[in-house]
Amino acid sequence: MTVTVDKPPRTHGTDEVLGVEGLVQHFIGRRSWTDRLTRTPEHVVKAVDGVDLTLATGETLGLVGESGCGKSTLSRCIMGLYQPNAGQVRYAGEPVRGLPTRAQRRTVQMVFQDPYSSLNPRMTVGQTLGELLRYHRIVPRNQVAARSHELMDLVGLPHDALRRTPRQFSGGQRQRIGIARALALQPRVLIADEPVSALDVSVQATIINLLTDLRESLGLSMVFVSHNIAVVRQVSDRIAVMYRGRIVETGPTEQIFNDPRHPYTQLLLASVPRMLSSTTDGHPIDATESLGTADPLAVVDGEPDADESPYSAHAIEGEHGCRYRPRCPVAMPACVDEPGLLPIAHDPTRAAACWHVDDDRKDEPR
Amino acid sequence: MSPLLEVHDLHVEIPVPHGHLHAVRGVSLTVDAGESIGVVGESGSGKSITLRALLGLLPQPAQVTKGSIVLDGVDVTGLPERRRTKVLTDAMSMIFQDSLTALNPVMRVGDQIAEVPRRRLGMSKSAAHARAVELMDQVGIPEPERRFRAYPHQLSGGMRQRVCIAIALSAEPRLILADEPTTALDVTIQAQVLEVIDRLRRDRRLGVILVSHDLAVISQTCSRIYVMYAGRVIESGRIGDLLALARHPYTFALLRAVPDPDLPVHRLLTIPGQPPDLAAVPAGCSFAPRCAFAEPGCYEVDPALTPVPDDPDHASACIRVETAPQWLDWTPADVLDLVEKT
Amino acid sequence: MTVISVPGSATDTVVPTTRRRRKHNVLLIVGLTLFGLLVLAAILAPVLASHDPIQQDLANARLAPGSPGHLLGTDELGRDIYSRLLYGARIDLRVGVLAVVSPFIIGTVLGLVSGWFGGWLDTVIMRIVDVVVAFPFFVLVIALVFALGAGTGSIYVAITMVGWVAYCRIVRGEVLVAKEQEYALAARASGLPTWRILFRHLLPNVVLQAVIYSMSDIVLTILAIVTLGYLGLGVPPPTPDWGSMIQDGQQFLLTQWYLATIPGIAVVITGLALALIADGLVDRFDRR
Repeated sequence: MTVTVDKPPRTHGTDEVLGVEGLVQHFIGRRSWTDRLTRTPEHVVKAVDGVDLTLATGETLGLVGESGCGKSTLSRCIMGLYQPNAGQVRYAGEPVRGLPTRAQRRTVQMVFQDPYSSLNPRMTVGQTLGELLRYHRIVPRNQVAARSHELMDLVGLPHDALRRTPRQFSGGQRQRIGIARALALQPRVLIADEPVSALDVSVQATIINLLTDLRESLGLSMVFVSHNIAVVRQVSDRIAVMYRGRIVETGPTEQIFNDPRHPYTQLLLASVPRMLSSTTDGHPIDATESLGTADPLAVVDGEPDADESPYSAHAIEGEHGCRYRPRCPVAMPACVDEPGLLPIAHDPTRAAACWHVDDDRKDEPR
Repeated sequence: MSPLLEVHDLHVEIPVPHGHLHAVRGVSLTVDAGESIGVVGESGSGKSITLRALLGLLPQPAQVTKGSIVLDGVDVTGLPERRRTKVLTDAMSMIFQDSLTALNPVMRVGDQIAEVPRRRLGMSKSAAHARAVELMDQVGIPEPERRFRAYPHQLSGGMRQRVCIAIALSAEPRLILADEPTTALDVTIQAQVLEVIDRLRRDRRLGVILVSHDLAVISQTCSRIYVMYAGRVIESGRIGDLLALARHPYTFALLRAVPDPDLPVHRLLTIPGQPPDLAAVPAGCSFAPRCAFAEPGCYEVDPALTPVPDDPDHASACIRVETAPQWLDWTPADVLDLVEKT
Repeated sequence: MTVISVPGSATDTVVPTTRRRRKHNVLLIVGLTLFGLLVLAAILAPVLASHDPIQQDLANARLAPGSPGHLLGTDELGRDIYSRLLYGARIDLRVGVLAVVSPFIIGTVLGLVSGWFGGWLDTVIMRIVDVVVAFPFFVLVIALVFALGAGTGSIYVAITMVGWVAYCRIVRGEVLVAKEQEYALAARASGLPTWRILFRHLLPNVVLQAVIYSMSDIVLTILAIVTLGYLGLGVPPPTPDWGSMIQDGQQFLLTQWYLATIPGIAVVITGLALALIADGLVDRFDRR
């Protein structure tokens, strides 16, 4: 019997658990006094350059983009690890002023990318969890051990794991510990920054499934940051595509995959390597035949040189206009004005930062 | 006609305190001219070590302990070491994962490409320069004359990897060994770099061995695939056959553990447990402890890679290879049942 | 596509990764035993010594080792070398260890703070470090001891004021790396107070290099005392210390080589013990 399991539609509230408004995070390169004397201009990296986001209760937002697009910086700004230059972050409708307070910290927690560096190598798992449970007074002191056991159960690790140090675990197990640490504070929102990209594919699946389970059983909201588009599609209800510090397209996952509106989203989705489709199944393939991506979009050449790196390129004085314009196949004179996120006429849940947003072009991703 | 490269029963061991880590345990593979084969596996499966062993680039103190390498029908294993290295490096070039560390940071990229034509092929300075520019053009580097003078850190990741490919081509190899060549690149750039490799394969009838953890990348660029697990090839065959019907439970599970960008599912199939410790491989099939389909016999014999009935090109190292077609029909409950039992 | 779903949780089993560390840390055990014996000898000097270490006996001056009543012979003033060696250990080990403890603590704390907070605080601390480093170690120590007056107290103060910079630089460098590690970010993200992150999470991960350096620093400090003694700024005579014993014995190197060599060997053994401890600590605690 062949069984196809569809992703069940989940209902979630419309109340906002996390909000980001006009967030700007620029990093200014260190200037020595000789730079000042010679009036060398400051080197500004516009990692996040004006981002608005909202996350509803129970929703999973996939944040996708390529390296250097600012998605990790954005997630760290949300976590209060950086103090943004401008803009506001709201936890459960309440603005974060300066750094999040102790109470606010409990609302939003993070799962990190590298399971090998994200755990303190000199503390046992029990010490790591116990410290948080005690400091935030999550449970009375005499129940810390019991709560730690519950957390281990939650992430599918045996209780004796509490007595071990991180180096005694595999990558996948460490990532479970990282998840348990985030859950220790009973957050409402989980920010997962590339949580599976350092893991082997078979282990990735277990972590993705675990996050999916936890989201459902604990009613968590999640921001899932990844460069892996297949993984993001698997876990997200809604997607935001980032390019050079800005969100260029946002909308429900299915709609974006079926009908991407921003040219960058189209390129991104077309570039994802796909398993050969069933049409070639079982047929021997001629070795001399081209098996490369046939889509012309996939061979658009427009990657900037490193010294014109993604973020600094836009920082060059006098450069303006749509940040995708240099690579864009459908750029036009109007693109010298950078569009904000424009709503799509027939679908109010979607928006794209492109003047072509409502063009009736049917550019399917493949 | 004999294949371009044949590897027979390659073994690599790494001495560790208290014994040996058997990193590669009898790998055999063949590549024809103009053919691209893929080697897929997870970290620790021995796929990169196999590739490095072919070029004599094994990290210290790893050693090839057994096996033979046959180039154009000539066994080179018995040649004196210097002669063998010369024959192998003349025939093959390698592309690495991290293009930044693979290039000399203080040498202009053009000079790095021109180095082999100038020093090893004995070209004049101007001829080597022209050759380098030509190669840069062939690997799709725009404005090659301008970028000839660039240093590696001034180029983007995609451009650097193209430079690495140009360097690999500069020695006029007949076989390219690519070790995760696009893993460090963004997905939009990955597609371009794979396209370059594939075009070169067709135009120059190059053999390509592409090592990757990404089945999708391999399925798009290779015609045949070798799946490695715990230092062995556990399944090999034409890519379409393997994707349509994997004959080894590991391949079967791996294909279903990877999310499909076009078809999200409620749950992904997972593979429980971890690969065995290669310093102390247990008896029997090395995948048995994690296998949903394992039976008592699996813990006793380690099955050899044997051809599948009615398809001599497709081989699997599983004792249940003949029941594989039924796996597709198993219900989730069946698999669940099996997982519980193990 | 056919999809089979299997629960994803609770499938990994905990398999302790093979420990590549030696079970018995031979280096650490040998080093600690050796150092322990030296400390014990120093503590028990009054019991173990056969003579008063400052009692002169010119009639029996410069006796060779193995002479009756004098195990290791006597020096140019007829003092028993064996006894002087034991009492010397008291001074040298105490000054060596104490003169390393305070620079270690000050340097480590300043390095932690400097590396973690950065900004103007880091600038100020590092400029001070630069100033101290700009002078040769001995020139500065000698000048300070000279200003403060000879004696062990001045030596502690002088060595502390000069010695902390090394620890500060080592720890700051380690902190700059460690604070970008995700565990440090995770500690911040979970809202732990800064002092707790610094001392509970970062310190144990960055202090190892400083501890290792301190082992060789103890030997250097003992040698510094020797040098100070040479200039008359060290431990005032006739109190025995290994440095002055070497110093005094030097002039008889051609006739009574053992006068300088025996305390020299004592310094070497101390250095060896500390080096073994340092290597053992790396084996035991380095998790990178």
